[in-house]
Amino acid sequence: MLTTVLNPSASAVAHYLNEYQRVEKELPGYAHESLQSLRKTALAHFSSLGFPTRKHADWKYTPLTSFLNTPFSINPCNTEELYSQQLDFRQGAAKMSNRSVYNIHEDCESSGNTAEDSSAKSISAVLEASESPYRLVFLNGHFSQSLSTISTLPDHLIISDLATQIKNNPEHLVNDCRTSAEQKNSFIHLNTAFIQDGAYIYLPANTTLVSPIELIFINSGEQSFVPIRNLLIAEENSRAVIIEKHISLKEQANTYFSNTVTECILSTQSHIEHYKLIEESETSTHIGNLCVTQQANSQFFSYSIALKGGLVRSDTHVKLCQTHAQCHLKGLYHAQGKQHIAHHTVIDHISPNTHSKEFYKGIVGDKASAVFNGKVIVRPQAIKSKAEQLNKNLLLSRDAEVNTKPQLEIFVDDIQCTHGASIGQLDENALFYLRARGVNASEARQLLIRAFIQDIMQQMPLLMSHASLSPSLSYLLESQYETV
Amino acid sequence: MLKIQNCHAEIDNKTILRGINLDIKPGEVHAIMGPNGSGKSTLANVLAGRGSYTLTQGSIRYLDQDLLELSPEQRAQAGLFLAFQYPVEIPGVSNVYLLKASLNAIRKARGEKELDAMDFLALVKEKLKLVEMDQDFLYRSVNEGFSGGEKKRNEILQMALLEPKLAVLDETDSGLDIDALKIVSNGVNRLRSPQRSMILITHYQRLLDYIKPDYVHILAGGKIIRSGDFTLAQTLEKDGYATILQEESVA
Repeated sequence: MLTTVLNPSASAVAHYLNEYQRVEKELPGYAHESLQSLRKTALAHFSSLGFPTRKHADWKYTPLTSFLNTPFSINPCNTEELYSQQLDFRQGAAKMSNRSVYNIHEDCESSGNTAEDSSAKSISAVLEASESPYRLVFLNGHFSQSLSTISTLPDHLIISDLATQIKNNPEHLVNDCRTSAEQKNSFIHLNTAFIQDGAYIYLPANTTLVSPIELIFINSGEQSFVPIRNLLIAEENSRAVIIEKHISLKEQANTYFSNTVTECILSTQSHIEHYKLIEESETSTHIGNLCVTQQANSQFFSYSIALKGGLVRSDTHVKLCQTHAQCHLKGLYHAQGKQHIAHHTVIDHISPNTHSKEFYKGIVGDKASAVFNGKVIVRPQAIKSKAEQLNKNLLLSRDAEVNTKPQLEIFVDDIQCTHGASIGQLDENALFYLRARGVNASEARQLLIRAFIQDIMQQMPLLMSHASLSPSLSYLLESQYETV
Repeated sequence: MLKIQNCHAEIDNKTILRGINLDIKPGEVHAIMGPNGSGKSTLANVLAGRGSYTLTQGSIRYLDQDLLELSPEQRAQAGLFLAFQYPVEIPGVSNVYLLKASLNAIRKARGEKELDAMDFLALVKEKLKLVEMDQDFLYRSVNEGFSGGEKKRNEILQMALLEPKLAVLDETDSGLDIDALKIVSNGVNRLRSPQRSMILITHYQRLLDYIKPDYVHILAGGKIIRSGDFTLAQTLEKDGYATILQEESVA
């Protein structure tokens, strides 16, 4: 008997096409023609590109097999469901530690029974750590009004959930989502086809936001597909800090697929700092794309902090479209257990006098693996541009693996490009030195690990103040430069 | 304090020490001299517990315990201190952090209470004077970018702070100019006490002009071939190792 066996990639593509069919009418903006056509085009791209295999150079070290074999399923928004999800979080939270809590659920629509209230811990602890007057919270990809806070905003400034924008202003949105569409990346197209919610931020010209905008994405579902789409438009001479946190409350059994796309459009003279903290569950898949386009004299700072997740892939695409645009990409990753954390960056120097600087550091232990792939393109017209790249890794075990690769495509002479990569282990001599001074072996190792990330930490200004949010972060950060 | 009996040690299957015997009592200062490759630094590393060295024969008793049973940190906590021949640079760890972590680990092991930041700082400032070091040193990464002399002074600073029972100074004089040698020796001399023993490992008699040992031992081919008092060092300086080695082989 002959059977046709689809390869995992093809059957996964078929699965998501079916999912689209299933939920198409429930996705926001169904009635809107141009949005609908955006979705359809994206879906067609996705379908023709398919999922990458290890034969794709960019996916050589990122194993997708287990992801492709799991039929993740999308759950389109609905308020009743939202409530039950919140309930679910509370129950999940009950299993967690009994650290001190503050009940911030007073504003919840429902008044749950005592059991629920007492279990509303962990989510509260997470939110308690956030002090920003602008905070958007998403549960499994859906905006939660009750958990979010938005202080009064000045005229024209918009900080909102995307679903609302789709309802109110779909035309605008369709135009702004086009920048990512040029990418030959099936995950971006998949995300575009399933656009449902995320954050929408519009900074009018000459606006400076002093407090950071916090976007908190809390995931839990079993085998759920969570598409998240964020859009930031920074008009001329505007300035803001965005913090994106992707976290999971239940530690172990959360096999969800978080697919995020964040687009940042920076006009002339704008200055944006973007933090992305990834602390997903150990069985989750997080595939994130950050797409940035920059006009003249704009500055973009990206800080990627990836501390947990089953499979984490964080791609950053920056286009330096006009002169004197600058981007600074910094990253810190820490992979343990069997986790896989990959950072791929593509910086496209299109205009003269553009400047990019990359600095990524990683710690990889146990049987974990990590990837850093830094691609820099300098176009013929991008004379007098400057690109710097540095990636350093610390391997903590024999079974840990790191693949690091600089990729420079340079089409012009009059530029400055530097790159460097290293993979090392803890210095045995330093370890012995510390032990010979009475410091216990395990403590000495911790000390050296923290010393390794000291420099990158110091280059991430807001990280220290947010360390309380994450146990793994505060553990990494415990200051050794304490003021004695 | 320390009793080494018939100590044989090897590294990478290469035998370096071939039967060392040494008995050190509280308050005594012993100098161990010898040509290159005689096993001086191996002895220091074996005492401090560096993992790459293995003892194949013999025993080492320290304060009535089997020293070899103890991990490097336990030895340090029990009052053994090795001033490294090549102090290690540790970028990203501040000197003051190491000093405090170290002192508190040792105090804890001694059953004393850990020092708080204020008391610690007062103490460390006092010790800095001993080795004529500036406070800036505290806030730099451990040994990073230190000159040879600064590194050795830093070792003595640690020793002054940790107040060991037995200090092993491995070629602390090497790489020092005459001024730094005076500062380091002065620091060491002020730490001499009837309870504290020291082992000075050196190539040259020069150090012994500043720190006067009670005993001098000559190490060659992994054995102590001659022991004596301070005058032995003077003989050595006059005649060189070759003469003594020849005399010993004849005898």
